[in-house]
Amino acid sequence: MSQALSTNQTGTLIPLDYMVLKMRIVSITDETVDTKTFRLEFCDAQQGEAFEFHAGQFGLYSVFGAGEATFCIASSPTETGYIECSVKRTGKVTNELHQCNVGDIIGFRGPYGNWFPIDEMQGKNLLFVAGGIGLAPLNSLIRNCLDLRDQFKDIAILYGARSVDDLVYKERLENWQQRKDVKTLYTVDPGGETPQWQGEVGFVPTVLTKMKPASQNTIVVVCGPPIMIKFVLAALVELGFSRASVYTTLENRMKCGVGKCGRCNVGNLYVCKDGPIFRCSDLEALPNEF
Amino acid sequence: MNVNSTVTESLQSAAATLLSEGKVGVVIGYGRDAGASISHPMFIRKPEDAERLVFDDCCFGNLAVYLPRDKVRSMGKIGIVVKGCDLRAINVLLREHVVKRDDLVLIGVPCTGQGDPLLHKCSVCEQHNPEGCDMVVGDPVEQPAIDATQRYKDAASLDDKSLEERWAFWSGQLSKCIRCYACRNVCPLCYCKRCITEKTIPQWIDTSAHLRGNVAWNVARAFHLTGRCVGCGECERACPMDIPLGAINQKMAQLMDEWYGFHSGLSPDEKAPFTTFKVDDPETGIL
Amino acid sequence: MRSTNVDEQTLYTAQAGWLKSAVDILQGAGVDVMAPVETEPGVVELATVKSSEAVTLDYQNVRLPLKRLFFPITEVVLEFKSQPEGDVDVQSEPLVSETEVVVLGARPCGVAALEALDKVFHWDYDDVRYSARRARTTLISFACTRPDAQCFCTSVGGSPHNTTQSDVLVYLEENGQALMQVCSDKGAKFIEQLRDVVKPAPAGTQPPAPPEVKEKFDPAKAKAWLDEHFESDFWTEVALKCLGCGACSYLCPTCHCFDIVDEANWQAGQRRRNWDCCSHPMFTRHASGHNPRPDQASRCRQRIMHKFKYFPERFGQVACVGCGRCVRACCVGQNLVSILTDIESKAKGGDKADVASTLN
Repeated sequence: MSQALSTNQTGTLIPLDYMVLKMRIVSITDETVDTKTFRLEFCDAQQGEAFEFHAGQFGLYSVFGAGEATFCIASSPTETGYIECSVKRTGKVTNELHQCNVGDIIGFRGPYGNWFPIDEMQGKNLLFVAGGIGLAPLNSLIRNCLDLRDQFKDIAILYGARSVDDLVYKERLENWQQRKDVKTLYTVDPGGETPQWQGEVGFVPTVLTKMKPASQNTIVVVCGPPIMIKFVLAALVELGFSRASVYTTLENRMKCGVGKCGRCNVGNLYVCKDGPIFRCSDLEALPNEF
Repeated sequence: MNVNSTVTESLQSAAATLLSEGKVGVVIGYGRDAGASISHPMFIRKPEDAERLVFDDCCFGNLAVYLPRDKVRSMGKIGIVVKGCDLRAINVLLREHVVKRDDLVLIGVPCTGQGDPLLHKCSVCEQHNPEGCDMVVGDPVEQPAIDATQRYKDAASLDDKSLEERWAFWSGQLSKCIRCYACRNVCPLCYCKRCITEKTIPQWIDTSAHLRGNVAWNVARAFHLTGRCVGCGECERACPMDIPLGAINQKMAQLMDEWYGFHSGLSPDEKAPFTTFKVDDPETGIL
Repeated sequence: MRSTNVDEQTLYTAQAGWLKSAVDILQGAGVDVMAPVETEPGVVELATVKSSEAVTLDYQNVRLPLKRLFFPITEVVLEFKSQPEGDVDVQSEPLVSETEVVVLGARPCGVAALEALDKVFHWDYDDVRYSARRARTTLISFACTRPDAQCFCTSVGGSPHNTTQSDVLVYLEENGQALMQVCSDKGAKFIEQLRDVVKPAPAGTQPPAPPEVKEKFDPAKAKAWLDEHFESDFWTEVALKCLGCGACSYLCPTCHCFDIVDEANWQAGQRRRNWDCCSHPMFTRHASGHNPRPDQASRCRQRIMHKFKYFPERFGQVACVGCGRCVRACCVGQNLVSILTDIESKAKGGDKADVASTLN
């Protein structure tokens, strides 16, 4: 499967004792009514300097006393000294995180998992398709690619949410829109628009079909709710894309993050180790348990 | 194992008839594997499979545990084999509106007791002949007079101990708990879709199998079953760590008996003390 | 983790009374000795012993699986405490004591199960607590003499005399003597410590033949069927009577799923690792409510698939040693062996084979 994307290519064992790095919340951005983005700095500057990751990798963030939860790193590897994560309030840990203030200290383990095949993307056209909070893992990759803009050909971003209020990273969306070297298309589901809304109205797969992206020499990365991914994939196939050129992320529940606890198993794979990034052609062989 | 062949034969034919006449979609009864130590739950959906049903003295399970399950209910009207003790659990499910009487066909089996030696619950059972069933298979059996002083004997033997001794006993027993939740899942009255141990906001009960978490879990379980538990003893039988959970249930039953003269599950129409409002409630037991 | 550098001489005879000497010698050397002890009537568990008088040899198997010595049912991994000015003090719980442990009287099936656990806890990332406990422990297995009707070690490549992962396999004899088979360097060290009560066995000595355990199914044939039947009504049937408790998993010597939870008051707390189980509905449920394994059928399937298909594909062996605990523990008589024999008969008879009588 995605062996080429494995995290630990050295062949040596990495010690695991569940110790966390302490991180301080330096800013909190309200993205939507239930989603916040946290910018975190390492309490220990040396740890911060030594920290490296790739776009698409995730970590386990913990509020001490509430527990750990898994989120991708939403900032770009090219931005150093801090990381960002975007968190939707859904359960115990995310509730606690939402109550944190700037200056609070939280725990972090990672980076874990494989990453987007940025090497394979070089010299190619890139199409990013995201829905809702699914823009978080793509945000990391998009920022990464834009920082290395000349290594890629055309870059297009299609992003949709249920309503205008549900769009995340609004400031960044605007920045991307203003760039001449990126094509952007933002959409909200029918009924989700406001009178001021300048973007598209329609579901992401429908807008994608209208957009008619060229499939030649293009790599697509899709992140969003499972139902959106399913229909986007169908639309892409219809447009002549091969499933092998489409990547997505799986979001199974995890506890250890490193292939021990058994929670994220899908068939003989560990989503935390063999994923979270999967080539869509590989997903077809997996049991439908994600 | 002693198969009761009279009951077994009548049971098989009753089940086959119910299924072939379309009166039920499934009959839940007991079957037996060669070499097994218990007769296990079995779901018969075709008349020709009814011959696999059996009734013997190893039919320990309380089949009422399956009644709240969506999968089972989706099979249509349910025929269910009930011993007198199982019927008590069904009465509670009826009184709590978890199942409807019209959705059930109760196939009563007269039972002189399970296990060799006889289970404690059987030695104090006053329901050898289940009453209020839609049919009874086999002939009525003699209902021996029971020694009511024996009803709460396990709880009573602990009551004789000092507080320190009792704590030593229970902390020792509850330390063994591995939090597999077999006690909960086998209980016909633990039908919550989401158990309190699975609720995290707030985390009412520590899920770790340390003494604090185990005590919290077992006390919460006992409280939720007080005035409801019918003493079927399934929790204790299911416990892989042999914790004497029956003694906790007995204690609760004893208090319900003393305070309210109440025995849970004797009728589907009964008014349970903790769910009934009365202006003249003596409020015994309210802290 | 296991050494193969063992002297050619592997069989030793131990004189009557060797067990007492062994406990005394090991105690004298500052070793923690664990041995089978009757903890309550009819129940035997491995427990720390100070003298051989506490040890019982009259047991079929211990109630809890051996895995708990290396992967405890609950353990602290981190401690944290609020500090002034919003800081938090986070400490990794000291790994494990350095004290050497010798287990006298583990059963070969439980010890063999560690091979599967070693693979999980020791690939890519090395679970340091598990590994430290493994490293400090010497496993002296007592050959199984009384397999019962629920045992099926021979169906999954084991035997009552399996030496896998054992450091020494001891064949107890009725006269109090024993024949000891050294299987590793740690085992050789143990024999050396017992040099006053053991001596090399005479040339030509053979271990006794193992008691018979009937082979009940063939995991390879079962896997061939599993490969093709992720979707099958069989799983619905299997799941009908399953109550979804964790007794089978928690007592299983190879099951290793776990949870990580925080427990704290407003000032300080602990992060713990606890046994968990794929039969529980909450195991895979997302905070959003989405559950990739939404019903008992998918969870029962996962348990069988993981042991007999996914684990072999990933780690090259079945995740089952045939100890029979799951069969004995199940309060509704769910039977792993009958599930596997049914699968095998389906594999032989194609899809038309009826769901066998033992199922629900």
